[in-house]
Amino acid sequence: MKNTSYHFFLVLSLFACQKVAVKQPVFINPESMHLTHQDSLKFEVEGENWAVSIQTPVHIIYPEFTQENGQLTVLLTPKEGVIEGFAYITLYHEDQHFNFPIYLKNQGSEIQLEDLRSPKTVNTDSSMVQQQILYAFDQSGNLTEVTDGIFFQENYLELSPKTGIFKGITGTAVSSYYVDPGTVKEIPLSYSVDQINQSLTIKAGPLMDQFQNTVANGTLVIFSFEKDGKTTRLEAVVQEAYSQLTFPLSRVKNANVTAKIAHISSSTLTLSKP
Amino acid sequence: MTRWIFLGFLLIVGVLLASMARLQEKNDDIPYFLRYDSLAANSNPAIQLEVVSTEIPTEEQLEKLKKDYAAIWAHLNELYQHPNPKPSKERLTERFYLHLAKNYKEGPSGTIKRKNLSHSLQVQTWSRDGLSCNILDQEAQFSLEFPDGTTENFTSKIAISLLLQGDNWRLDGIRFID
Repeated sequence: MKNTSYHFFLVLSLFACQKVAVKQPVFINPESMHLTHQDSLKFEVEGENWAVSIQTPVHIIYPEFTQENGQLTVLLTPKEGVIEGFAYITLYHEDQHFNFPIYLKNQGSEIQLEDLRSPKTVNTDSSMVQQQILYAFDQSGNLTEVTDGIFFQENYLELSPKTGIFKGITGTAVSSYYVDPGTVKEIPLSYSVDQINQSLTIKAGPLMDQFQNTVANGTLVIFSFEKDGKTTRLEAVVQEAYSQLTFPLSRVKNANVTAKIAHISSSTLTLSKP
Repeated sequence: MTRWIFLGFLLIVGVLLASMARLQEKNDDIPYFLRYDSLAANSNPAIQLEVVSTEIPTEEQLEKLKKDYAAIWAHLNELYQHPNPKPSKERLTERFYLHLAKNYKEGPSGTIKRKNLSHSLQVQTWSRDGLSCNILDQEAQFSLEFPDGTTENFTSKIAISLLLQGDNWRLDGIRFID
């Protein structure tokens, strides 16, 4: 009798340890498409302690869910939306899991257009034709059509030869492009005398490119002085369209001066008047 | 006496060095160029490539594109099953990475495995500076492996936007068209 009771207790214990398999959940609202932040996925389930994950086309997420009266409601409220497309929702219960195919779409996403320019910096000496690549995407990184059925658009734009920093049609920093001034067209030279300080200032400028843009600040100007058969070279830079050098009056009297930027030279100026 | 002063000095120097070592911040992050991307190395899908863009990339650029495209999908397949986007950071643009990072929550691995089998790429646009390209993957073939051992193959048309940042192409936008 004692032995029988012992065996009976052992068998009962074994059954108690065995996990009870739950029935396959029933998908109550299997729509053709589910919208984030609007729809919820409803399942009829047995038992408690369920867990949920969704394998979206790009990444796995763990949505919020509630369980009440045998119904599990999965809320589609990911912070950043999802990559749209076919996905699988998985319901976990202890060691069991059940997969259901779904199609996810974001509800009312804001569309952003990207306008990439190439080259980003154009010089008025070179071609003013710039490549523009357009594509659009939503907040979650889903590409959207730029025009009907077209995801990527490419244009070639003729830029105006006006220097500056410009923003593309999207107005974003990434879309910015720059038009730099080209080489100086001509170098006008002039000089002025300061009788009080007994000094002479040689000025090159205004220095403009072929489209009347101011030559870039910092452009190197080489001044050549020729006096009594001896030539001296001095360097200066362009600042606000001008480049200048100041000398004691006695040193440059009757000197011939020329200025050069790259391959462009000025005409010779004779400092005869001082 | 001199010996004790010398030993004391050595002790002070030793304590100082030890405390400096303890103060030093430990950074376990290996520089990107020293990291071995095992996911990318083990991915070898068949990739066909056609260029229809007005700007034609060089053979060398196309080879790099193929290699990086396979690596991007290796990481996307990993993300399909595992939630942490950090190991895939170098394959995504900052914008795309942030979308995933904001949705990141720890949890069990996905039960379905995805593998990309082949791709048929059409380069739609290629920027003159070689830093942007847009692709239509006309026929991307995938295989899904379910926990019961069954597999299911499917084909999708995918639009993908890539930017060359750092040393490699990164995913900036994606659309599963059908």
